[in-house]
Order: sequence, then C-alpha cells, then structure tokens
Amino acid sequence: MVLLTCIMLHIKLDAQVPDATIKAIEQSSLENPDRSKELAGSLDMSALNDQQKIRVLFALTNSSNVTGELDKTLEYGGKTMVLAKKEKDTLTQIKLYGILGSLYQSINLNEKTKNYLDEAEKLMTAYRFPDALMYIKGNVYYLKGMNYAHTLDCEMAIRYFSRSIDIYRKNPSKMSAVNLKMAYLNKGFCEIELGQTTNAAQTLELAQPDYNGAADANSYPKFFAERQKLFVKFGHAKIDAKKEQYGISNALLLDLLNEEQSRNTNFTRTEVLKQLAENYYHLGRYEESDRYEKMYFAEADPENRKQDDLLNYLISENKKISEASIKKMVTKEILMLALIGILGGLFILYLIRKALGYRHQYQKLKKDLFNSQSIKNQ
Amino acid sequence: MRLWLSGLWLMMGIFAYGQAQYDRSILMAQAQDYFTLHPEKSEMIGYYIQKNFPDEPSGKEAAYIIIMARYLQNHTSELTDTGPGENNTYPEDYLIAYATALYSAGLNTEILQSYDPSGIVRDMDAITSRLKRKQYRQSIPSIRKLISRTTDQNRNSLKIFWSAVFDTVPLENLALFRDEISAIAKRYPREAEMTLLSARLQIAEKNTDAAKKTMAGLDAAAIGKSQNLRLKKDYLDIATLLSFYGNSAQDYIRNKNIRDGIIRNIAAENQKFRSRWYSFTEDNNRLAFESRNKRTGLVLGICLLIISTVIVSLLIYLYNVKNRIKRFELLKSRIKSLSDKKTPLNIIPEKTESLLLDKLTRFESEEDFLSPNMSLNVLAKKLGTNTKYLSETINTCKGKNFNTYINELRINYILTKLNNDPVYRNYKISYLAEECGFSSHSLFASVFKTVVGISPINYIRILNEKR
Repeated sequence: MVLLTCIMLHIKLDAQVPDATIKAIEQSSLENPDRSKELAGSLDMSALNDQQKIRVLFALTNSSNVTGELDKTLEYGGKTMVLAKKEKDTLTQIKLYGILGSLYQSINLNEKTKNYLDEAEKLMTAYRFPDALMYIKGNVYYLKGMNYAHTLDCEMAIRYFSRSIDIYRKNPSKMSAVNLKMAYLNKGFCEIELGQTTNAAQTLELAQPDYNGAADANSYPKFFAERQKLFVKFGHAKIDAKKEQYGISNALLLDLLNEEQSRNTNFTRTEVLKQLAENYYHLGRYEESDRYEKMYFAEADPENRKQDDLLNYLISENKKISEASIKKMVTKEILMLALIGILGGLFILYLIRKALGYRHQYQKLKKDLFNSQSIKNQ
Repeated sequence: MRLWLSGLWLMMGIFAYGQAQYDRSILMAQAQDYFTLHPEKSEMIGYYIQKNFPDEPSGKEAAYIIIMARYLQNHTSELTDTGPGENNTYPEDYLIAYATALYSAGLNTEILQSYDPSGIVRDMDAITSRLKRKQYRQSIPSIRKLISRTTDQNRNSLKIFWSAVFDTVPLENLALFRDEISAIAKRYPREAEMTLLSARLQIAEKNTDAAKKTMAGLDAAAIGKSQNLRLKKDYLDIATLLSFYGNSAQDYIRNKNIRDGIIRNIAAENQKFRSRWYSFTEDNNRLAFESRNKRTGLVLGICLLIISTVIVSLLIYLYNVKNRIKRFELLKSRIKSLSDKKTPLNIIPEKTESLLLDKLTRFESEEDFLSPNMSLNVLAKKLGTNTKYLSETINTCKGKNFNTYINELRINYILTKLNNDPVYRNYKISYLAEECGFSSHSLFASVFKTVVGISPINYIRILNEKR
C-alpha cells in the first residue's frame, strides 16, 4: 500500500513538472519560437500523456511555421493531427487544418489547401466556438476566401471574405484586428476583378488601417499599417485601370513605386510593375508596356523560383522522411527476424535434443523388450 | 496428328502475336505523327493501345503517348494518372516526356531518376538546373551531350524537351546557343517546333526578316486550329515579337492577347499539376511504406509459421514417443511380473514331445496345412493331443508360434510351386492365396513379404526375368 502511494505520488509529481514547461513552450511558440523549440527539446515526450503531447506538438508546429521551416511544420503538424484525431480534439484539428492549409497556400498548392480548409469548415459546423476563440473561425473563412481568390473564383472568395469580416467585427479582438483589415483588402481586390468598382472603393476604404501612431500601436504593428496603406493605394490604382482611366492609374502606380523606393520596401513593386505594363499596353504605348513587363518578369521570376524551390524541397524532404521510416522498419524487421530466429531456433534445438533423448530411450526399451530372455521364453 | 495440330496452333499463335505487334507499331507511329498538330488524336490512340494491348510494354508505350499528348494540350494536371509506380522501369521516351512536363511546371525530376537506368533524366537535369540558375554558358556541354544521345526512338520526346528548355532562355541570351540550336534543328528538318525555335533564334540575332521568312514556311491556319497549346503559344510568341518589331499594332494586340491567354492557361494548369504532383508523391511515399509494411508482416508471418510448424511437429513427435515409452515400460513391468510368477515351462514329457514331432513331420508332408480351416484346435484334434502340448512343442522345437509355423509352411509350399511350375506364375495373387490356404489375398501378400522379403508380384517378376 505504501509502495502504491509512493508510485502515485511520484507520477503526480512527474506530471506537474512538464505542465509548467508546456505552458512556457506554448507561450513562446509565436513570440520566441527558438526558445519554444529549445524547451520542447528538453522534454521527455514519452513521459507525457496524449493531451500534453498534442499541446507540445501543436506549439512546435506553430514555432516551425513562424520560423518558416515548412518541412518541420508539416512533420509536427502531421503528428499533432494524428493525436488530435485520436483524442477527438476538434479545436486543435481545426487550427491545424488552418495552419497547414495556409502553408500549402504559400507554395500555391491550391487543391491541397482547399482540401484542408474544407476539412476545417466541415469540423466547424459541429463545433461551438467560445467567443474568445471565434477569430479562429474567421481565420478559416479568410483562408478559404484567399484560396478561392488564388483560383480566380472571385465570387466565392467575396462570400468567404464577407463571412470572415462578419465574425471579426462581431468578436473584436487583438488577434483579429489585422485579419479584419486583410479580409477587407482582399475582398476589395476580388470586387475589382469582378468589375464592382464602387463596392471595391468602399471596401478598400474599410481596409485602410486606422493607424495614428502610438495610440493604435496595440491594434496592429506599424509595419503592417504601412504595408496595408500601400496596398490600399494600389487597389485604387487598379480601380482606375478597371475604369479605363489608365493615366490616373499610372500616376498612382508610379507614385507607389517612388514611395516604396524611398522607404526601401518591396511590398507592392511586382504587382505595380505588372499593372503598369497592362496600363501602357491599353494606352498603346507598347514599348513602355514591354519594358515594364520585362521588369515585372525579372521581379516575379525569383519569387516563382523560390516557390518552386520550397515545393521541391518539401517533396524531397517527404521522400527522405518516408525512406528513413522504411529504413527504420527494415531494421526493425531484421531485428525481429533475428530475435524470432534465435529464440525459435534455440527452442527447436532444445526440442530436437529432447526428441533424440526420448528416441534413444525408446529404442533401448524396444531392444530390451524384444531381446529379453523373458520374451524369448514366452 | 497431335503433333501436327500443336504445331498449327503454335504457328497461329505466333502469327496472331506477330500481327498484334505489327498493329501496335503502326498505331504507335501514327500517334507520333499526330503529336504536332493533333495531339488529341494521339491521346485517343494511346487509350486504344492501353485498352486493346494489355501487355506491360504496350501499356508503357501507351502511357508515353498519353503523357506527350496531355502535355502538348496543356492537360498536365492529369499526368499523375500515368505517373511512375513503385518498383517499375520505364522506357526513355516516357521518362523524357514526364521529366519535360515536370520541368515546365517548375518541379524536380528527382523521383524519376530512380526509374532511369540509362541516366537520360540526369542528363536533362544537368541542363535544366544550370538554366534555372541562369548559368547559360555552363549548360552548353550538357546540352551537347544530350544532343548526342538523340536516337530514332527518343527524338519525339526530346523535341518537346528542347522546345521547353529554350523557351526559358531569355531572348537576349538565346544567341549563346546558336550552334546547339542549329544542331538540334538539323535533326528535325521541317518540323514546326524546331522551325519556331530557329525563328526565335533569328529574332534574338536581330534578323527579323529571316525570322519572317522562316515563319512563312509554317501552316499558320493549321497551328491556329491545333489543340497543341504549346505549339500555339510558341507560334504566337514569335508572331507577337515580329509584330512588335514590325510596328504592326493591330497584329501585336491580337497575337499578344491570344498568347497571354494561353500563358495564363498554362500557368493555371501548372498550378494544378504541382498540387496534384505533391499529393501523388505523398501517396507514393505512403504506398511504398505500406507495401514494405505488408512485406515485413508477410516475412515475419512466414517465419513464425515455419518455426511454429517445426515446433508443433516436434512437440507431437515428443508426445508420441513419450507415450510409446510409457506403454513399453508398462509392458516391460507386466512381463517382468509375469516372468517372476511363471512355472517351469518344460512340462511335456520327452516321449510325448518326440511323438508329437513325428506327427508334425507327417502333417507337413501330407500338406494338410493347405486347409483354410487349419487352426491350433483342429490340428490338436487331428494329432490326438491338446492345444497346450501342441503349442508348447511348436514354440520350443520349431522356434515359432503356431500361426507363423502354418504361414511359413503355406508360403514355402507356394514358393516351391512358383519355382517348379511356371504356370503358377501366371495365376492371380488371389488364386495363389487360395491355393495355399489363405482366406484373403492381402493377408497372403503381407505374410509372403514378411517371409520372403519381397512382394509376391515382385517375386514372380524376378522369376520371369531369370527365365
């Protein structure tokens, strides 16, 4: 009884220590991902229960995502998903589908992204989010909108952006402030694509960050506000182009190029060059159009190459992981075969020895019995 | 007759097989002819071959036709249906076409390299990896190497590769490859793809008049109607450039609009292909793992089965031997207890025994043992004694029990008959058994074998052979 109590106490003590560490891992996963990984590395995963493993692995998925390690994000994400499904942890599954979906979107794997976000959406229909976590639902809708926008299905994209905006507005939080503005911006771009220029102009105004220096510094970072303003301006240039006011559009675009140059940023440059090439083409100024088109390709090429490299890297890493697991399995197989062979062989040898002994005894008995005087006399 | 019929069947089989192979090679040639202007027809032929020639080489050739046709029509997202499978080898054509499609979508060909014993994909990769890094001059030796590897077999697939490769080289750098493009174009005289490549080179060398002349040799209407989007795009690319340099605004707008539309289609299809290829590689990895897992399970299962079978057999053997030993030990102890209790054996007076022996000699000579009803009781009565005396006398003096004594007399009788009278050798075993007093021929055969050492049939055969 004393021993049992000691064991129980020991387990309880053991379980308490990693829980504090797990909290630290979770808290630092977004702000200090390296620290989060370091802490996770110091944990003995086999000592954790499934719920704790989910929390650690999810934090690792997040931190890998923040540091841009796609392969690690997928690896940890995959492991977390298996456990979350096993534990029927719907919220984690939804969050994971969102993270993995956005990861695949970043390398333009639209179909894969769609599948993941569809899964998230399916799970959301049966899950009741607490108010504080409603932004997760908004995020999934926002990602779905982006996915449709990438596949040029702007009507569907607008529908999902509107849903996400609705959720963000009803449940304002620090987590959703940036995404609300992003949703407005991308909704505005989709409206431009569909030629709804008046709606687009209004939506773009809503996308404008209310950033007035330190007062709103809590809502969104300065970096985001500056970037957003540039994109809103670019949106207006696109509206003008859609209205065939190419001159006005070009003035805005050239202004944007100068602004980016003076700030030494590169947020809108590629898109601006593309729009300039299109505008000059419509103006019949083909040489300028050709020049900007070449500049656009020169800017876009490394970006595309980067995406290609990321995708190829992922494919190659997946293959390596698969080969490593097959190798591990083969080693296991050899070990198992050796174990079975040795144990079985030893047992068989033992039985053969025993059988030979019995056989000898039997032959001797038989000989004794048939050669005995008593039998002869009989 | 049978031999003649078999020969006929074989000849018909060879003829049918030969005819099928001939049909297939004609279809293959036709599909390849259609690639440039009617890839949709090539695709149909590919499906036809796939359906009607179920053998593996035909399947792979059909896959190659389908890949080429889908690539040219910009249906690359469907290529994963004909993607390489586990533990398989593929013809060079297939690998070149697939690698070209992957390369065009910005994907690595690493996976294909494991199916590529000739190393042609590696040679293609040497070119594309340098071009991706804009190392144009450094790519020239690899290009020359691949040109030298062109054969009648792989020329069509390599043609689309060259088109795709030089499409990625900016116009201002294309002149670097003048010699290589000329060498390639020589291998494909009057073929549209290579005519376009030559025209592009001429534009790069600022020789627009020559380019116009080269382009004039092409059937613009046929290209315009063709489902070959790659060819159309290449054609419109050059036409756009020529109208741009020729200051023909109307042509420029028209050509550029169509070309940009095709480029957008190709880009969208490439995105789809990339997504599906990623899923395809994931599935392949999963399948490889699962099949290995299955194999591991099977190997371990077989191993366990063999070992457990051996163990169970040994255990059964041990059980049986142990039981026998037990039985023998029991018997031994019983005999021992009996022998401890028994009375002296020799209880027959010597005179009686001598008399009985004389009677037995007479019994043997009179051949009364041939009677099927002969038993210890009958003989005892016949000899005027009791069964105990008779049994004891036979056991002691003849060294055998009554049954063995009678059986041996009968077998010796029949042996004499068989040796001396050849007629007996023609009789059935059942008759011989009856003749010497056995009630069944199986008992006769069994006793015969015990006494003589071989079966009666073999004995008769040996006797006949001696004769």
